[in-house]
Amino acid sequence: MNKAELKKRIHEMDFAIHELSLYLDTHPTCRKAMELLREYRARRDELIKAYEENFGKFIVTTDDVPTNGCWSWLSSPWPWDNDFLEG
Amino acid sequence: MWKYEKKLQYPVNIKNPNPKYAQIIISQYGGPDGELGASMRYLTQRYSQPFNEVKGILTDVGTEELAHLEMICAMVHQLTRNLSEKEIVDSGFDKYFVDHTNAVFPIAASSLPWRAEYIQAKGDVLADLHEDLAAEQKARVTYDNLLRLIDDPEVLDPLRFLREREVVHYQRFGEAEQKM
Repeated sequence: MNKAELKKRIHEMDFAIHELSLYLDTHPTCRKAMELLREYRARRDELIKAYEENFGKFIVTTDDVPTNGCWSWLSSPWPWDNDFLEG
Repeated sequence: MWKYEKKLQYPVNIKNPNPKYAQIIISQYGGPDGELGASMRYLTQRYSQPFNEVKGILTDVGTEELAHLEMICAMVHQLTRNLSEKEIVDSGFDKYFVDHTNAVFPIAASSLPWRAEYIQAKGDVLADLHEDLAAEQKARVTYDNLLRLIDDPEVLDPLRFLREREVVHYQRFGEAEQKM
């Protein structure tokens, strides 16, 4: 997968995780939903690992501290700009 | 508290600016049934709720609506880039431009600025949930109307995603109401 495809896949996992958490708000004892939530979180972790092995730190929050001595939170693309996923 | 994630919930990448589209889509930011009102409505109603399910769904849907207003703002921003003076005047965008240049300001398509009266917090779980169910349907109709008036696939794609979310939120609020 190239950089844009990997980012897209990570965002898809984020969406599935969010959707399951809304579902659990009104189905708080649904074991199937909790299993799926664990599965999607694990898949997201794998995708992040694949991204970082090839393209460097995956910057989503200010928790993602870069190791290269540059606060790349500022220089990584901003989500409202064109071609954000390609950046 | 909230923590910012540097991404959109669903990608917005519009190549062709179109200030006519921007002027109607902005209603889903600052209009009566827009995403700013949606997030403020749910996040404001949380404090007086007696049930954990309702506190949970209002917090999570209210937070998702913040992500939706960011998508709408990204769309308006990308639709109003690099405009010539002629394009600004010919599209009728000049009346907005004179006050806000190309900033994204919360107004309705009719140009009325966002008002707190667009939301409600009644302090009664039934009244508030029914307000929320109606709000999701009104937002869905607004997306239906936008989908009728627009024919650029790069604009339609994120609008269709947002329309679907109104349907899901309506479902979750309905389930929260049935739990009581």
